[in-house]
Parts: sequence; structure tokens; C-alpha cells
Amino acid sequence: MSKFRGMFKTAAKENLAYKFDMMLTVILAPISIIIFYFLWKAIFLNNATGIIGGLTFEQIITYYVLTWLIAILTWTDIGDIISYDVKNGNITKNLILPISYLTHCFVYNLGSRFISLFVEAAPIVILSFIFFNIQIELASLPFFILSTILALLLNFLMTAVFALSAFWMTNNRGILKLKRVFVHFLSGAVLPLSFFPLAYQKISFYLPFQYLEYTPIGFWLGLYEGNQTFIMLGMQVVWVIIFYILCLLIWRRAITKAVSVGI
Amino acid sequence: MNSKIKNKNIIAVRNLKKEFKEQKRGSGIKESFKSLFRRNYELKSALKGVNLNIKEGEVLGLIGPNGAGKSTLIKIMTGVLHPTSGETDILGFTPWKDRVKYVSNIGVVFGQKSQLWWDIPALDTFELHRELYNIPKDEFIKRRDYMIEKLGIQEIVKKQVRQLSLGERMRCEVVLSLLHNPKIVFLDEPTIGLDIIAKDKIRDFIREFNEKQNTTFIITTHDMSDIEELCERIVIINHGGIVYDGLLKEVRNKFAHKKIIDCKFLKKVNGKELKIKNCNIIAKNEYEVTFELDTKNSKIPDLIYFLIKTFGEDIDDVDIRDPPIEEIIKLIYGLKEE
Repeated sequence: MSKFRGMFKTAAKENLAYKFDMMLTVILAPISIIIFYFLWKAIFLNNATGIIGGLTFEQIITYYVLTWLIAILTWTDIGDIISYDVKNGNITKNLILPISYLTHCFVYNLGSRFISLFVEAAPIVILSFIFFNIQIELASLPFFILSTILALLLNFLMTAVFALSAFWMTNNRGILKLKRVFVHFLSGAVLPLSFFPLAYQKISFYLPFQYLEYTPIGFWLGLYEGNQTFIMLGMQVVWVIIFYILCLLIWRRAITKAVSVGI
Repeated sequence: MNSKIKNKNIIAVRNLKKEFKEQKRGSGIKESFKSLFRRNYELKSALKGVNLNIKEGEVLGLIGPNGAGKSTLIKIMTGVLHPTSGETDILGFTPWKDRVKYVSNIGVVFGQKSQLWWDIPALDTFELHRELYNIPKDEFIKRRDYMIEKLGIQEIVKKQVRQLSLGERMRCEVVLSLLHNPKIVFLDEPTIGLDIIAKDKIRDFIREFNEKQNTTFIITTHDMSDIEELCERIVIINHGGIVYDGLLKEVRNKFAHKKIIDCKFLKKVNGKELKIKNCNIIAKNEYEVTFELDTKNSKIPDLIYFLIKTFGEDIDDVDIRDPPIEEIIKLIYGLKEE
């Protein structure tokens, strides 16, 4: 446990090292949300019904704020880290530490998320409560938190699976970009799933993507009732387990491929 | 001399081989495009069956020219690389199989790759290692402060690592590698780019740590003075195999059949008088001549006899010495693969 604590604290310290960068990060999400606010305002002005894709203007704004929130809380740069470590031979220095490489990356990721919780997520939530009148049922909050943690795990493991291709390809930035674009779209981060064709809405239940974004947002919005709550959480757990096993299997093959440049 | 070397082997490497697939291609934009469609791979043997035993408490110098395979060997011994075949037993572990457990027992410094976190002070990385290696707090503080004082880096460890000079950073790296009191320490180029005082500090420090804790050190370096100051035994690697494994002082006897003789004269000497069989002149000015004698074909007394006979009282001084170790190592590196 002390290993994790040490890694976590170090990640937090590293994330706090640059003051100016952090200040920029704080205002980035609010700016983006404001732009989005005016964009959708313009779209709704030309719509007589006041409903698009089954959502009202307020719901769309709420949805968009929440995608930002989830994106921040579940964000991971493990893809870039693994790519960089393998390509530059940096992996060497991580492999001589008495902690498994992926665990090390994950705890580091958690540490940086912890800082983001205060620096990035909190301002968004506060601003949104004040200006956009966003609300949450207190009863939904525990499920939202649980679902977000599962989304964080799933996002990390899924990205790791793709990122480990670096051991075979050395430069895998193309794969990572492709994955990012697809997953970003299919997870519901760009548009709510209710905008998608009905066929995809049905299939998406069996695919891992919506459990990264749409599902935690759904918990906040109170979309799931009764049994559905546990079915959705259960699906998240199943996908976490599947990607965990995949990750371990690929890692075991990958590590025998490690060739680092120079020393 | 370290009298504490016991006969206990702690590193045993058996017939270790490592092969790499290496991409073959030409340079230039045309070749780059070509390589998109067709690639030629070549199998390169980095290690061709290495055998090595190291005893507890030894300070071993591992040397070899660039690309000889020493990095590969170090990486396999530190658990980073998987070999193609062969066995390695270090402290009862197979490094690449029991990696996470094994590495708590070793310390590693890669001179060219920092182990320290870049954006925070070295002290914070020390703290991280305390938790990663589960070092008891009082023991940790005692050892850390002792090492910091010994290396004179009280102020340096409080600065962000990215602001440190190479020499400052290197001292922090050495401390970091020893915090958990490892049984074996691998130092790769620990004094690279350091000034003489910094080098001395690190060497003294390594020597002392070795004597007090009986820690085993394996040092790779291109600086022969590191080796001469620290190591009794050296292993020379070339072309993926070990070409010499033995005492440093015996390298000369085995590979060098030369003596250097510096002569000073009281009068000017010219080239004509100095033609001696089996003896080359490697440096010369009006009053001084340096000879290189091949001891296989000629004897030192012959040369001295000749000098006295020819110059007699005009000789001011004669100094007979071994060629510098660098020369011998250069000779060994230059040897063709058998």
C-alpha cells in the first residue's frame, strides 16, 4: 500500500510543479463550455419545437458540462506515456523499480486525477451550479461516483491495451489517434447517444464505449431506474474485467519484446 | 583491497545469449519510402553465450567498446531485458522472471538516464523510493542524511532536478540508488561528464560503501581511471563475448608485451645513434627520447646496456614504465573476433 501512496503523492507534486500551466488548465474547460453554450443557443433559435434529439436546450447544456466533467475525471495519458517510454527507451528506468509498470502508471494517473478534481473539476461544477442551474438528485450521487470510478478504470485499461502495441511497432501514435477519435465519438462524448441511429443505441449496450462517458452521465441525469442501475454498473464491471485480463495477457507478451535504445 | 570478499557467489550467468532483429535500410527519402513496402531484417547477436560469476563484496569493472554488448548484459542482469536463451541466477532470482521482487535487492544508476523525477526536488524522489522499497523511516533518514552529507549535496537536493548540473544530478542519482541498501549496485557510467573533484567524491563514496556494507558493485565505464581506482577485477566484453575476465593488474601481462622507456640526455642526440633493434621511438626532441620496447623479442637490459655503451655519462635520467592502461585496452578492443 505504501508503494501506491508514494507514487500517488509524487504524481500530485509533479502536477503542481507549474503554476501558470495550471492556471490555464483551470479556465480551459469553462471557456469551452461557454463557446458550446452559444453554439447551441444559436441552433435552438432556429428550432421551433425547442427539442433536438429528444433533449431540451437545458438538457443539452447539462449533458455537455457533464461530458467535460467525466472527461476530466477519467482522463489518462497512459497512451502517450507508454509510447514515449518504449520509443525512447525510457521504460528501462521504470522496469528497475519494484512495482509493476502498469500499476505504476495507473497510480500515477490517479494522483494526477486527484489534483484535477480540485483544479479542473471543481470550478466547472461550481460555475455550472451558478450559471446553468445544473442539478443532481442526492440519491443519484453515489451511483454517479461509482460509475465514474469504473469509467476511469475502463478508460485506463482500454487505452493501455492499445498503447501496448508500441512494444511491437515502436511508434504507435497512429493507432492511438485512431482509437481516440473512434472512442470519443462512440462513447457519447461528442453527441448524446440519443442522437445516434436506433440500431447503434441498441448495439452500444453490448459494446464497451458508452460505459466510458454516457453511462456515468446517465447516472447523474437519473436515466436509470430500479434494476437498470445495477445492470449498467454490472456491464461496466464486466468490461473492466475483460480489459484487465486482455491487458495482462498482452503485457506478458510485450515485456519479452522490450528493446530499449542505448542504455 | 577488500578483505571481506567471501567465496559466496551471488551472480551466476550461464551461456547467456541475446539476439535482436535489426532493420536494414539505406538512408535518404527514397529509401525511407521503399522501407514502407519492403523491409529487410537482420538477426544481430548482441550476446553470444556469456558466462560470468561474481562474488559478494566485489567491485567489478565491466568494460568494452561501444556496441560490444555490455548494456545488453547489464539490462538482462537488472531484469529489464529477456534473453534469447541461457540462465542467470542473482541472489536466487531469475531477474526477468521475478522482476518486481528481484529489483528491491539491487540499485541501478544509468548515467545517461535519470532516475529522478524531473519536476520535483531530489528529496521528493528519495521520499518516493522510501515508500516504493518499504524502507523503515528512521533507517531511511539516517542513511539519506549520511549520504547527503558525505557527498556535500545538502542544498542541491532541495532544488528542482531539472535545474541541476550534470555533476550535481549524478550525486543525487548515486544516493537514490543506495537508499534501500541494496546487495548489488549496477553503475553505468557513474562519473560521465564530471569534474575531477566530483569524480573523486563519488569514487571515495563507492569505496566506502563497499567496505562498510560489503555491497557488490558492477561498474561499466569508459573512464579507465574509474576502473583503476575502484576495481580489482575487470571483465572485458567485445563482439558479444567475454575476452578477458581477471585481475586488472594481470591484463598487462596477458596482452601487453611492451615497456615504455623515457630517456633524458645531457647533450643533443640525433636519430642515427638511436637505431636499436626491436625498439621504436615514439616521441623525441633534442634532449629527450621515448622508446617502446617489445618484450617478446627484446630485453630491457639489452637496451640499457646499449644506452650506457653509446651515451655513457651523457645520460641524465632513465624511466622505465608500463604503457598506460588505456593503450592496453585499446589494443584489446582492436583485436579481431576469433
